[in-house]
Amino acid sequence: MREFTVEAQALGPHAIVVVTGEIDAYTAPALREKFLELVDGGVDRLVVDLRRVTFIESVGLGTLIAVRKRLRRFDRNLCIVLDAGQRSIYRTFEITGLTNIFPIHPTVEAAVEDCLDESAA
Amino acid sequence: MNELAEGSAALTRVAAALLDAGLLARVDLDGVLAVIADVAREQTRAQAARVVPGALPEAGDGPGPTRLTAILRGPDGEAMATLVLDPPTEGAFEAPAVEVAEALAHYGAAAVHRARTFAEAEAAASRERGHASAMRALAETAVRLNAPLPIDAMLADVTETARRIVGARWAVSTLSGDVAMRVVAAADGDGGPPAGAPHLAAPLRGPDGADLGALELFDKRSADLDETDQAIVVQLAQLAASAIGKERLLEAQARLAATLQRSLLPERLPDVAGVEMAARYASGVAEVDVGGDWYDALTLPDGDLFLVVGDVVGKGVEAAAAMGQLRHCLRTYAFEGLEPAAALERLNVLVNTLGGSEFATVVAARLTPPTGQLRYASAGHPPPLVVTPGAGAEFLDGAQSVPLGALPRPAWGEGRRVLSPGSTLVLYTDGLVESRSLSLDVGLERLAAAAQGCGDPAILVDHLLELATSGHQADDSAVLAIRLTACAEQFRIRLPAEFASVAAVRRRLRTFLGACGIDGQTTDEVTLACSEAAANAVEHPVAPRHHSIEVEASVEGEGIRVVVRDFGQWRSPPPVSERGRGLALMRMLMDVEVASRASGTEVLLRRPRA
Repeated sequence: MREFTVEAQALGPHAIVVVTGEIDAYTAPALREKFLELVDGGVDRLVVDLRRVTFIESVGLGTLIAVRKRLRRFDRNLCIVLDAGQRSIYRTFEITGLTNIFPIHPTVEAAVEDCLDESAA
Repeated sequence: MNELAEGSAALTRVAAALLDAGLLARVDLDGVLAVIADVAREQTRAQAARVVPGALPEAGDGPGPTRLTAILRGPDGEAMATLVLDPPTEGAFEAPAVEVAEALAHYGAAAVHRARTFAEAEAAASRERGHASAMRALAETAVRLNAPLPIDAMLADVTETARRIVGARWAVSTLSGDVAMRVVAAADGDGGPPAGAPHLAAPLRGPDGADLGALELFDKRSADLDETDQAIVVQLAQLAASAIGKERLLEAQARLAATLQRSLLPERLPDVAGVEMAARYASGVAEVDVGGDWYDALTLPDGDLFLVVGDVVGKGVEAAAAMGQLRHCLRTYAFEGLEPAAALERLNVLVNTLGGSEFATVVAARLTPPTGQLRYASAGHPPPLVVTPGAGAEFLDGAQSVPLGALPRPAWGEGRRVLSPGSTLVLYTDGLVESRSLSLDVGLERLAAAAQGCGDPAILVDHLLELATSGHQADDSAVLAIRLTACAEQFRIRLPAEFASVAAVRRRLRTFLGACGIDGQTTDEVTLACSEAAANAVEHPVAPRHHSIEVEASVEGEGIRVVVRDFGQWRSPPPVSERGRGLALMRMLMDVEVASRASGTEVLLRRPRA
């Protein structure tokens, strides 16, 4: 009933990916595909906006980790955007230890500043 | 000599008869000519006689006996035809033959003239009839195009009409632009129009002069075309272009209104434990009939649900825009903590100050899911329906007030009711229960009957809209159904072994846990663990006996128990992959026991209630 969508805005090596819906074994392949497309297209700095995601399970987390591994080769990371109201999603990141790996920000602006603007440095 | 004189008298009679025939126009021109030639040959003993058009030299030349000719002259002395008589087999014409021929030519001319005049009149009348029928066809086409028709149907109609009226073998209409299309009408089924320039063409121009395309006719002999044909084709092209232009404009307006309408409706309904909710909106029969119906549902800070269904009187973009205003104001009032009646009172003040002819009916309700407490108020809106298992359907008409915008300060009542577990509340707009072919009472009865026969809100709202549209509802409709889930003793679901099934498992499990009073965080975690186990059950079995998975859940005393089953054998050992991470995740959330047998694998997940 709920639609799953992945939308990406890429500008050179920077991209913001907005995901909507539930990320599970059924929907994760589309997400993985989008990430690969971006990284193969030269993107090495990513902000992933999960504020409209209502559920995420291990295969979704695995997809994020896989992308992160590729970005680490360029010494880059990806930032996650989560809303304060998404307790359940945050908790999933927390109990799997991913809050220590991914910078998680409450707004896209903060994530952009953290993950995309480092190019200026 | 004598013989010929007698002949001359007979000739006069024949000629008079001929003249009558011509006058009465019983004989066509060819017939008249044939009679003249026959009589002339008989009376002059000519070897052969014929009437040829125009003037011939008075006397033949060349050797042998002289030919005899006589000119048939019209009223103005012009030579219409010439009677030509070849001399008798033996010898020459006798002297009176000339006189006979002259007389015959004289009377014959009158007959020919009459017959010719009549033939011309006939032809003119036939052309007139042709014009009249063409004009009638044009007028009929104009009437048909006046009705709202899809553009392709309009174009097909005009193309075939043009082909038929003009009598061409093919007619072709082409439209360019956003909705490009080409319609071919053919006299017979075979082939298409020939390549090359059409024999007749007229442009299709929109109301604003924009070039929309062309109407072209092929394969009619150009000798047959007259300016009437051209005029008809031009007229038809204008009719079509104007109708298509109008239809495109209407379609664009309808799309705009529909887009606006949908953009103003909530993108999704809140996901709240203990209730199942579904809502639908349907525009009227014609897309342009988008109206101001809306539904809304929001979770208040204290966890209550605020539910709204309303109907702004009017159609199109304006109604949709007014609806958007009211909807957002009502949301704000609800968030500020106003009860339904107080919120409607505030909204009424707003509608009155808008000053226009705005007029709306709204029902608003506040529901506390854990207790089933409901408070509601209605501004001239059809009463909410409650279906209680074992107790039937009932309309809540205890808090009816007047529509918004009707009175400056009407009295607002608040209705209260406690909904028992398993009962369903249905809020709807009048499009669902009322139409030209359906009285309100019958519509309400039908709604109540349909709601009682249907448990799942998602299925119920679809069913209700289907019922309404099957009655050719002209109005738009909105419906919102919410069911307080009862804590079932056990939850059990069997689904195809596909990843796409797992979302349904989660949704149903959440509903089950919510209804049994399990708190939000626990529900989330149990659902996550179950989702992981279900994904494993879809992915791992090889050589499955059944292509399905089964999930069972129960709340027993202080514990939650979930069993996920598949019916195949797992690869051994279980692969280390993202799924392995899934198992680890499950273990962090619940106690996990995996039992593999030949018949399949069973994953048992357990944890305390909270």
